Amino acid sequence: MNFTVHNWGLNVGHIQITGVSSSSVFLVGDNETIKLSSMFDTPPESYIVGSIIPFGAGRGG
Amino acid sequence: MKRNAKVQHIYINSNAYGSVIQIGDAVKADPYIRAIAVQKEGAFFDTNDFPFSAFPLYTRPFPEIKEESSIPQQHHHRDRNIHVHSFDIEGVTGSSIVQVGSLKDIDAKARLKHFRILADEDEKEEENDNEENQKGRENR
Repeated sequence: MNFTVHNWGLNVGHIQITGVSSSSVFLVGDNETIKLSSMFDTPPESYIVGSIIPFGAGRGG
Repeated sequence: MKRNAKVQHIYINSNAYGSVIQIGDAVKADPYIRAIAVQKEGAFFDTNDFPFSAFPLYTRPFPEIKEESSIPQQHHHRDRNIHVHSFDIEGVTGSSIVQVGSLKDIDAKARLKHFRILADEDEKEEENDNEENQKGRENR
């Protein structure tokens, strides 16, 4: 495979962003490699009802 | 050769928790964040309640992306400029990056876990009863 790119003009007006978070990237420029990984967890076990935090080895995940 | 990024106007309201706002070129960035978000009814928090070591989420390996297969490619920059007139960002947070300029290699990782802790309904009733009794006594 032969991959050829012709970068003619690149003109952008206005960009409106509410948030950039959790190891994410907003880039105006060139890049070669990009790896963005995320682990996010809100499991049922994280919803705790009780006055004492039930906590011990092996709980949660 | 890389291109020139040209931005006339930048507005960023806030930048927090290990995040970066960079103007200019860079070669490598590998930001990493691990966070535990605890939303709890009641005002008492203890930093030692939730150690990272108690949760496998913070030790399990990320799936590795094998060596990127290189495709033979040519880039012709007929216009060496990237023009962005303006950008507004409300918040930059959690080891993230906002950059004007080139960034060759990026490897960003995040591990986040949420907890929601609610007070026991029965205990809340008891507390309310106690408060009412207290008030009753004060009024007497």
